[in-house]
Amino acid sequence: MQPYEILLSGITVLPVIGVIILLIWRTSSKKQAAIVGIISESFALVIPIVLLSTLRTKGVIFFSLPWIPDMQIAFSLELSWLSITFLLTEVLATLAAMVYSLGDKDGEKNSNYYYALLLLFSLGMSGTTLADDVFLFYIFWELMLVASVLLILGWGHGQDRFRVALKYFIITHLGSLMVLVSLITLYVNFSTASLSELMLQASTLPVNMQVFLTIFFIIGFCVKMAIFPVHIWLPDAHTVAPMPVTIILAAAMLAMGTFGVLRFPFTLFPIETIQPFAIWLMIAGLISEVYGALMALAEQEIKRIIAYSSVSQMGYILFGLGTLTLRGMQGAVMHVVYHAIVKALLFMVVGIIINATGKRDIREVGGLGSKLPILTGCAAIGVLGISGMPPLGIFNSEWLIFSGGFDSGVSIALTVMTLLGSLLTLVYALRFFGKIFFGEKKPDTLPEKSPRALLVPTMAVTAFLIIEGLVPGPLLGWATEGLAGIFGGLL
Amino acid sequence: MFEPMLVTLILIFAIPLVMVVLTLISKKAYHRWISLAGIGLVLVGMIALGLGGEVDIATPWAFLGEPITFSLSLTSIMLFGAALLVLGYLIMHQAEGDDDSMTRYQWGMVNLSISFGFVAFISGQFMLRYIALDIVGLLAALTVLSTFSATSGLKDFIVIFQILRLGDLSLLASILLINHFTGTLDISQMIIAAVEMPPGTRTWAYLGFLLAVLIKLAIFPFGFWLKRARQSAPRISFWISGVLLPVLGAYLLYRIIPIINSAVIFRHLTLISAVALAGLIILLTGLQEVKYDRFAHTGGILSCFLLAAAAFGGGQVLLYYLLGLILHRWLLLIDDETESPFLGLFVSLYPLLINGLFLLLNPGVFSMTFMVSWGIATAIMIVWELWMQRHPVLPKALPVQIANNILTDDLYGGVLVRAAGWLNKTIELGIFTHGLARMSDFFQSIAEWVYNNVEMGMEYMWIWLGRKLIQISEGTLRKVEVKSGQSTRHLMEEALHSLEVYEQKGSRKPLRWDLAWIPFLLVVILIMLFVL
Repeated sequence: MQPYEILLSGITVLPVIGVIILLIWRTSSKKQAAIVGIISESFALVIPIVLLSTLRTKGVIFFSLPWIPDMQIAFSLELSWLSITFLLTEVLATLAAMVYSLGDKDGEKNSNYYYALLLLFSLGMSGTTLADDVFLFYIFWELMLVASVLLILGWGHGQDRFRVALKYFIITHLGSLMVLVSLITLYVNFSTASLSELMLQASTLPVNMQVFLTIFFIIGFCVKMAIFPVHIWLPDAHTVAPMPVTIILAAAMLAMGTFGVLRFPFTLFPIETIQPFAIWLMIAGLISEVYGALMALAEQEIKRIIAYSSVSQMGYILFGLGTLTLRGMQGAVMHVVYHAIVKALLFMVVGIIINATGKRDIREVGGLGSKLPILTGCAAIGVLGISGMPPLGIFNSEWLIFSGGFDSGVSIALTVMTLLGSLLTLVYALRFFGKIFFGEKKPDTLPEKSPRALLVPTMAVTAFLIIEGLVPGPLLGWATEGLAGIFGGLL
Repeated sequence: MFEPMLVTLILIFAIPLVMVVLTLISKKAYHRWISLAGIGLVLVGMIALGLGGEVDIATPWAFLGEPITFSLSLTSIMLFGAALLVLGYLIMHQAEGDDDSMTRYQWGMVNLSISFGFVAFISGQFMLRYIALDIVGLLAALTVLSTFSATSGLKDFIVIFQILRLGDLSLLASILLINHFTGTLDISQMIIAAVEMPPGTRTWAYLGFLLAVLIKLAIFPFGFWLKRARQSAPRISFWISGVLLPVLGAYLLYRIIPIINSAVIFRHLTLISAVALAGLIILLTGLQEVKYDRFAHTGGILSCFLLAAAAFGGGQVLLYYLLGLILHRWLLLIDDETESPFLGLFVSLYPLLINGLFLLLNPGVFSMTFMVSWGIATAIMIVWELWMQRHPVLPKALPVQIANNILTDDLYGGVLVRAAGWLNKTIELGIFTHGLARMSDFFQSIAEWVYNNVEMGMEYMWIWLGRKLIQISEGTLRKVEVKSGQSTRHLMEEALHSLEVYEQKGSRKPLRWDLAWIPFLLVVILIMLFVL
């Protein structure tokens, strides 16, 4: 076994060691538990970066250990350009959330379990992006759900958290079951759980079966992406969850749905099978974009405003995927990354506002601009970022998504509507920013400064957002390489 | 090694940025001089570029895989240079009151807009030009924000930014559409190739460009953003909204003339837009339905003349007409300050001068009908302008919310917010949230009904069935097992009894030895059969 293969396995193994340490070390303080969590998660960040040079020469890195040989099931991992893009997004979002949690009030009680679950949540997502075996994929996929539900149940806000956690679990699990049905169907038909092997064989399935599986996969993953109308778990879950969990949910977990669409139906089946769905995906994307933006405009709860914005932003991604063009999909993948950064930033800002004012209703907050100038600057960058202002990142991804819309040849009007619909993002973003930072000072008692422990990671994410926007080359390169395997490289 | 032209370009872009930094670290007294020095250096650089002639400059850079190029033309250099001269004049003749309103932040906006305005003029690649235009739009909106506490500035900022963004998005749609057909972002190549696009697609591209031009030129009904900027922005910062952005809009129109002239319908639509919008301005301000604003409305009507000229190919001297428009805005700004009756009259009659010269310098280009219509329209404009000067409109009171510094949702587009609120109440809350709760209750009642009727029914049925089964089993047991056992026992007892009776009877009879011969005879017969 090559050293880089062993390193690859470390991405899933080392966080587990962190979890074990946290479970044993019951007397650890929040800070100690957080440091264990951050160190463990840092390995998951460093290893893919170390593996970048190998990935450049090899194109893809595999690691495999027999698991249930009689059933052709193995513990197989695959690091490709597509998976590394999603993996790094997820790990960075988790790390940012963990660092932010040091200054956050949540997770004071049973800190060791809190950080252990955060690590498991992240492990679920890392494993999802790396798994090269359908059973392993599903196990990681469900680990992600179970860990996040437990985090909401254990550390969520308000009495409503039990109802919200149940709603979140049931709805997303329904989506997962649709994915599971598809995975089992593939396994039963080809007697292998290896995704690499399924990639070669899946196109031999009868067309009707391919269509059926595509529908199940897409609906299943759209639930995770929170596309209208299966978005209903998202606003509640984002609102009730503790802030670091909200950051991970919005910045990282939503991306897993996009990864699923790219990894399964778009990789397994030929473009002819997916083509009939193109226009429906684009329409669903447009509806989600507009609907999410309108809800964000009508909403009064600060966290929910940003939560609905995710529904809208996922609409852009689905639209990009639906174009079935290289530029559209490049844009979709880049939008996942940019959205993760912007959403992490905006939720961090919201966390500081709630922390400073104790208020969650936008009508009860105002005039913070003169009191908290650094936070205002970060929020302004975030608001401009999500509105697609150049040269901040989302402009780049939207440019490619809309280009893909025209390239698809499906409908000029549909793309123009999606493009003009992005004006709604500016409207709700300005409402959010204007109401909180301008006008009469509310509430009367405000702290003189934002807590440094919360402000420093927020500023770091802001800087990252600016850099990512100004230097989109590497990300575009990764997205292009990652999409080379889609539809058998036909794009 | 970089070419000298490219180095000059970079320096021109960088100088205002350096001025921003200097403004941030220097005393307030030096700010205007720093900006003036920057403008002077940029103008010198522009002259140097102009001496190099009209050239395309390639760079080693790319953005999103698209090569970055610059395209120097006499038109762009002259227009940007003229706009900078206006700014230089405004700073030179800065009044004491203006000095107070020009904070570091405002100077920063102005200097940044010079950098990005320059890029917007000379970029040969449409993506870079779009980015620069978008940033200039944002800077124009930001100039009206002066404090976090006053909501009037915020309202103006939101209105200006949203409408300018709408224009930018429509421009983006057109750029991407042409890019899809041409595969390039080089502006010159795109415009040439756009003429060959299918009519349907070209119509979309044309409409996008037209909307972008109307908004940037601040032509009624899109000119309200300029009025707001004029009310809220300091005099010098207003240069971004009042001069730079409209000139950028005019230059965009100048570049897309080939697209306008590629189809009769586009020419007609452009002409109709120009006439209709100019007529609307005159009518509505004359009836005092719209509050008259000299800067926005006369500027808007002259921009309508520009649109009409573009619909007829623009003529040979359109560049000078564009320069004339910049001069008009300059004169309007000066007239505001000096309040000289002579200058006021000159500004009112200025359209006669510029429109007359335009016809004279374009001999044989336009038809007689066009020239007569042009003349009549100019006369109407002058009469209207003089009438409006003599009948000034009193300012209206501020809305209560703004006067009381209250932030309401109407700030963000009242209809939109109300529509979103309705949607939120009906669909998101009504269906997805309360609807789900109601559905949950419905399911609960169904479950209770099922429990009471089906589940308990099943329970009763199973109990009944169980009882029946037990009864059947008992019956079977009784009939099959118990009764048959009894019968067997009875039979056995009877059999034993008969045997006993038989034995008792048999023991009383004498033995018949004669019958013993039978088996003996049978054995004999068997032996005989074998032997024989």
